[in-house]
Amino acid sequence: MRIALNEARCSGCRTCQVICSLHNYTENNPKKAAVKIIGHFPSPGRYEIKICDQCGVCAAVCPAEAIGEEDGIYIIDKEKCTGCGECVEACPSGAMLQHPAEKAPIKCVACGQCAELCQRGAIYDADTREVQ
Amino acid sequence: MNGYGGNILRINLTTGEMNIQPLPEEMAKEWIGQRGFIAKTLWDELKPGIDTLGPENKLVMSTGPLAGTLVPAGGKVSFGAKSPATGIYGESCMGGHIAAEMKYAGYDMIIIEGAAARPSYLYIKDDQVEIREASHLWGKGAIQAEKTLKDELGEDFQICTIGPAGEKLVKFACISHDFGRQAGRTGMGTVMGSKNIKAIAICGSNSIPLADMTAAIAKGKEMLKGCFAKENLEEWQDYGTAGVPVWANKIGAFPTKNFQSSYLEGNESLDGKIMRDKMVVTDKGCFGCPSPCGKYCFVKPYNVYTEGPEYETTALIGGNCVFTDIEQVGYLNYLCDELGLDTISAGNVIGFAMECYEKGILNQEQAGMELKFGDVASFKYLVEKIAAKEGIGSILAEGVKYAAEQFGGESIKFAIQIKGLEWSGYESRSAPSNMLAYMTCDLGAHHSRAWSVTHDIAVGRKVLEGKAQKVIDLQHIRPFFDLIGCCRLQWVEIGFELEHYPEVFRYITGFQYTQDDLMKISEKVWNLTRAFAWRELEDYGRKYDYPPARFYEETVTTGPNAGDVLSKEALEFLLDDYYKLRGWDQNGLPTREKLEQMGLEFVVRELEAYGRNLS
Amino acid sequence: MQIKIRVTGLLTEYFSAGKGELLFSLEKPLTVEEILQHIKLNHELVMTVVVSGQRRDLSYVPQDGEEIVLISPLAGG
Repeated sequence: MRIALNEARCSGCRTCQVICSLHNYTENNPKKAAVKIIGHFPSPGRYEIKICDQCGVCAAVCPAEAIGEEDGIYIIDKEKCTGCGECVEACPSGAMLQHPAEKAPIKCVACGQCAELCQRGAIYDADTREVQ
Repeated sequence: MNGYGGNILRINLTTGEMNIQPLPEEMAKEWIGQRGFIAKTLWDELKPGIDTLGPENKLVMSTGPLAGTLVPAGGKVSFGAKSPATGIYGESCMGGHIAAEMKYAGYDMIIIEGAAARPSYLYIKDDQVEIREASHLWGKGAIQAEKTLKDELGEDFQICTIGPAGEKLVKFACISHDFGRQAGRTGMGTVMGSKNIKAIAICGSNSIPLADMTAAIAKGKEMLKGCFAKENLEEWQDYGTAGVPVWANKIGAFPTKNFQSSYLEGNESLDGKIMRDKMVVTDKGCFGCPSPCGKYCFVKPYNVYTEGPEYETTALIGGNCVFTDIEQVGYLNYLCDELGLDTISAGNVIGFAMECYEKGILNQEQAGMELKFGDVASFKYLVEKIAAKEGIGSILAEGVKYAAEQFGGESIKFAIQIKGLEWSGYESRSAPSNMLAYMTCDLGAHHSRAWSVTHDIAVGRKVLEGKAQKVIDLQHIRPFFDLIGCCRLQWVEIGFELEHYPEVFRYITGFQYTQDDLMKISEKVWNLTRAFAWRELEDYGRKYDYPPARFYEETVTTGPNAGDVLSKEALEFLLDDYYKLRGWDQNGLPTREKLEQMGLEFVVRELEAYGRNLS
Repeated sequence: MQIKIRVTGLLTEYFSAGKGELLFSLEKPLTVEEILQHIKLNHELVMTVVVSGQRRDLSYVPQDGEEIVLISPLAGG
């Protein structure tokens, strides 16, 4: 699973956020999603998708060494995380998201649920699908 | 409570008091949500005879139990109040993202009472609720005001606004949201303006509890993928409802020249394909939508951005005011959106004024300029005068019915409205069941409750028998989507099957309802809104259900249905049949027996208390 | 020659094969509109004809083996 983006195809429906929170937090709550959609309206009229590209900067800056890597995917150990927010500040993609009820930031683990339900191919798995 | 935000937020703008009460389970079970909650609340809380623009009227915002979940297109919210356009039950629905957001904030319904002393906006962040100063927003366009507030509050807020027309209390002002979605009909923006509320901004961080999480996820995915697999999805996504004007014209249903005709010469240039090539910037969907119909456009010759025009706008601005250049329609759509006017009513009112001018009922001095069909300058002039309530605009701002009463002559015959609400986008002299749908819609001449042009074509345009039953069935199915918080277009447009909904409804709410049970609730709400109108107006009934005389006295002027008219006798037949099948009396009023059968004993008691004679 | 016909949306109510596929044999090439007369489907109920992903109209003449999808008009927005 290699999450890739084609932002021009995004219609802003936020289904990705709903399934992300359901799958990773067992909650129906898009504010607990590791993907964020930002609309740029009224001009120029497009959507921006914020999601982790697994660059690893978060792991490098984490003072608690709470972020580990496995097969190219960086995962937060919620037990170790102190909620200091260093990674949120450092993330070059602005993709470490926060929720008031969660100490640890919310980060994409490349489960691929969002890509599965993105009919538009705005978020897709670059391992299995060509850009739409 | 599973599937629900769980609370009702009540804000009194006069006193500044607010309270948050848990949503009673009984209310959820009996009225489902959204339109059901609105109808019940307005029935319970509004005294008959109140001034629609006074502080006694209430603006109720509500969504349903499937909104904000994985169910396809669970992004619908409705606004309700006693309508300033019609004086009876008013309600209008819109998409976007604010329905889901209000549930994450914990609310199924927000009841706005009284009136603020100064221009204000409502700030709602979970249980933090504030009435905030809005003088910096007052006077701004609806879209510009949303942008300003979004910049101030952040991306996580979902915001609805009114434009200058709402502030000025134009009777067909809309509520706007998500830079191009509107709750357009029955003057809900007018009511918001009367309360001095420029905007409602909501941000929620909570979860919606689900009765059976695993089943809800599996079923939600199945439904989404079912929609993805529909073979007309691609066509639908490319054009949205903008793919329809050419068809509507070919079959002779396209409103033309203030409904003189149902066929517009040159309509091919309004086609969705041309619109896509010339103007579309991005496809834009509402919350959770698998089939986004929003076509977000840049209209180059006028240097403006606008969502749409969708079918209704193209029909009422394009056809009805005779514009065949899609970029002109796009620009005029933009003007209406920023001013905060419903494009359906605006297209009617302006087409009406143009016809009055053509017929000499209005002269240049009264109008302020020469008015011509198909003239951008005329439209722009009128729409700005209406929004500002200046000159001729102060009369037109009250809607076509009022304007006809002022202008006099024969103009009432071509003031295209029912119950005071202007007609939406289908000329129906050659489609009796669709005519009946407009006649009996609880709001006035609107297509949202039933639309059956294809039924008329399939079973015969001249046939009258059986038409009423079709309309009744649709009047239960379509508003059912307005109970649950979902868009109906997946069912209507891409053919997604209805039978999925009761099942997913169970997984989300835990309520064990069959499709029949849900349709019964929809019927109950239908009887309640009819009773609401009767409680308001003692003389309510059959006489409020007729279309304007144009449709039964004048023939269609051009096109495939030229010469068609729907006789008064045909209308009487349709109404007789309809009332009988509904269990209403010959005057179109619900009987005691029917109301009791629907579990509406409290309605019987109340109507009797107001001296209404139930048969 | 033979073509396949499918319909979408509310058209399924008025189509003999419902949600299924109708196989239609024809001796000479016909336009979609003529084919509709044969299968007794009112052409006014068809908004768009799609053949192999291409948007066509009622005057299109389908080739042997092609599948035509008939898209019904919306039901009023």
